[in-house]
Amino acid sequence: MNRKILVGVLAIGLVALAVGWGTYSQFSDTETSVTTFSAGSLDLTINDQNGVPVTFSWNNLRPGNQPHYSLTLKNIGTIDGYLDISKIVVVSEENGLTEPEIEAGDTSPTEGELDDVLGVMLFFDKYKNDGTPGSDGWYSSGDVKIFDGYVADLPSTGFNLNELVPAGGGIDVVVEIYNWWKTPQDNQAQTDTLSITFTFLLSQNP
Amino acid sequence: MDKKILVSLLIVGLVGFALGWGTYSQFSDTETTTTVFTAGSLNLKVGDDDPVKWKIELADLLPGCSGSQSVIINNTGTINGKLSISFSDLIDKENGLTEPELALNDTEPDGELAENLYLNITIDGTVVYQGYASGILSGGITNYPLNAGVSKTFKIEYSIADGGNIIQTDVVGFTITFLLTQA
Repeated sequence: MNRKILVGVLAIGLVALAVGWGTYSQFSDTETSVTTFSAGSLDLTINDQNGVPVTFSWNNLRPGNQPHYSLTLKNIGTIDGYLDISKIVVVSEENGLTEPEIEAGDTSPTEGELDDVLGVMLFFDKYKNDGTPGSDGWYSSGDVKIFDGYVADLPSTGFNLNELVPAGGGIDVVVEIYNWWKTPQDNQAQTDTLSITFTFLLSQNP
Repeated sequence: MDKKILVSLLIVGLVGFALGWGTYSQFSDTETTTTVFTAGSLNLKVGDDDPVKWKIELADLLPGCSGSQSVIINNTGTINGKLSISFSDLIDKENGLTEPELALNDTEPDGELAENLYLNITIDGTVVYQGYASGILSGGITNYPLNAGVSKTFKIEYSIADGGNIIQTDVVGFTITFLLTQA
């Protein structure tokens, strides 16, 4: 076949293709994709209180007392969060000096001593006393200790815990156990008032 | 790609990262919990003085005499307490020998009043010590309940039945310690 014929065939082919293209109707279908963004949420509750400080109070505290409080921290948002204690405020007040306080050597008219004699243990209550997972309000093997010492030694900057609390109702229980064992300064703490505020922070990133 | 372009890209990347860092704010939520403790108090008051200055002095005792002294013991604190009462520092002094004592051959260095001074010491009717002053150190009471805000009467009744001249000018003294501890 010579070159001219080849070119002629190719030209016919191209014309045919062009004709075909113009008349030929192919199957088709369209679908649309709409992208909607909804922001997630990160919402922490303590003992089912949301935005309201959870308060506990104990009057007439004395050596030998062991108040303990369980805090159920829930992530009711839609995003996994990481829990920290971001701030701790301790306010210790003298609340007047009685004769036994003075006799015990208390010379500070405004500064209380209850924070020096009151111990506190903070921990994630992950296991019960019988070894099964869950919380029972007391420290048992498997629980994760956050702090164990005197209230006066709690760091004001809190604790970087990075504890994962899953979205949609993830729960962590933090227990505060206070202990007033006998110390030589006990009488100095009579009538004193002590307030301890923990700020829990749930954030998106560790 | 030459080196200059690589460096430029790196700088662009870093600037982009820095911008992202500065404007990126992550979700967070805080909740607080506050615990307030108020310590109680345990404060013992004997009479009107705090601290205690209660002092009894009985002068001119003589055979056949008797009497009593009392004081209010009060837990002015907010915590229930238990009271212990103990006796110490017994003094039994001759305080010099008078002629009538000498006449009775009183030659001992200590006095004789303690052996003749009869005491009935009670708190709200409960006996703390009953007997002669000479045995007072064996007396006392422990774990006597004294609740917050409660007052009790502590009473010392004394009498000298006999003894005669041998007790003349003698002096008896002792210290009473009241200790209130939390119940």
